[in-house]
Amino acid sequence: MTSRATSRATRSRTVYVNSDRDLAAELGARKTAGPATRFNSGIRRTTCGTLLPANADHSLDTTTSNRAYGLRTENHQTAFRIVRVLKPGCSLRATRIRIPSWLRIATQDARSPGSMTFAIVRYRQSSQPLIETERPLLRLPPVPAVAVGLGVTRSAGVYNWRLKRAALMAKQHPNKHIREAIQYAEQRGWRFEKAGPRAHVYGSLLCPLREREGHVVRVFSTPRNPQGHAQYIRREVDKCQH
Amino acid sequence: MKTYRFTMYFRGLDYMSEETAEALYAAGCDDCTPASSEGQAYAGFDREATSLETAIATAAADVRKAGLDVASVMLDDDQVAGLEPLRV
Repeated sequence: MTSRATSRATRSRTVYVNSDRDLAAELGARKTAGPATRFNSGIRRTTCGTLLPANADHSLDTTTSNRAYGLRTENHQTAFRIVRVLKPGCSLRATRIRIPSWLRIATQDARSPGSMTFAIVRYRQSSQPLIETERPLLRLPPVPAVAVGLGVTRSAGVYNWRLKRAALMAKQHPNKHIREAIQYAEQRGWRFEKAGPRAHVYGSLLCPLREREGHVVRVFSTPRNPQGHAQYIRREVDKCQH
Repeated sequence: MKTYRFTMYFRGLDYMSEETAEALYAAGCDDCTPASSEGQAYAGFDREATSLETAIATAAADVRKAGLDVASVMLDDDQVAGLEPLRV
């Protein structure tokens, strides 16, 4: 049983997760937090526990209340925040939340009593810290922009948290063909490096030869012909002798 | 309009930097894939044009706009096969 004091403490706490492990730890910790409690915000904490909103957060979320919300941390690395946990039984369609393809959503069976329906995780890339944190952020890994993709799959009645490294998520090109071409290159030993804040160049593919003479392919964010662009990328990869 | 596919090699450019790629895009070569290897920079084009000549000419003009110099243009086998025979 959760005491009133504990639930209040939980409510006013904002959780930031910076890695799979942190996220798993948070979810694990909340799992045993107690029975469903209704918060003033109307968001239900469930058996799984919401990772969410203190009332204070709503002021930050006014423009994005139905959207996922992200922030960057003091040291300008990407952090994640689970923004909204929907009520049990609430369908995603009913909430009219637009889900970008790269966003992974944790789902649990809405029909199982008291379970959480969705948690939405998102990150936003921006160079400025968005908010002051209520408590020190978790220590961030040295790798920049580690993003977390969170997915839940259901197998034999057991929910398996399938966690994915966010570095992979950061590599998600908006176009499917190019995304596949980048994967194709990576499977053949190429490296993908995300470009800095550039208008048109999304990133670069570098062949296994780590020299200036090696292959370099610059990948555009919005090429006029994405399929052709992807074909060229694949062709460069096939051509490479290194 | 047909899409013509060819590769354009740049004179005096041994490495395709991000800046150069940006400049190419900004100059209208958003249909190209800039790359470099073995000390030679080049870009593969998928240019829509009424003819191959126009395709190459417009691409070359865009490339010059980006401050680069065209050394040569290479056509793919399949592209050559699709062309009308030369009249002599």
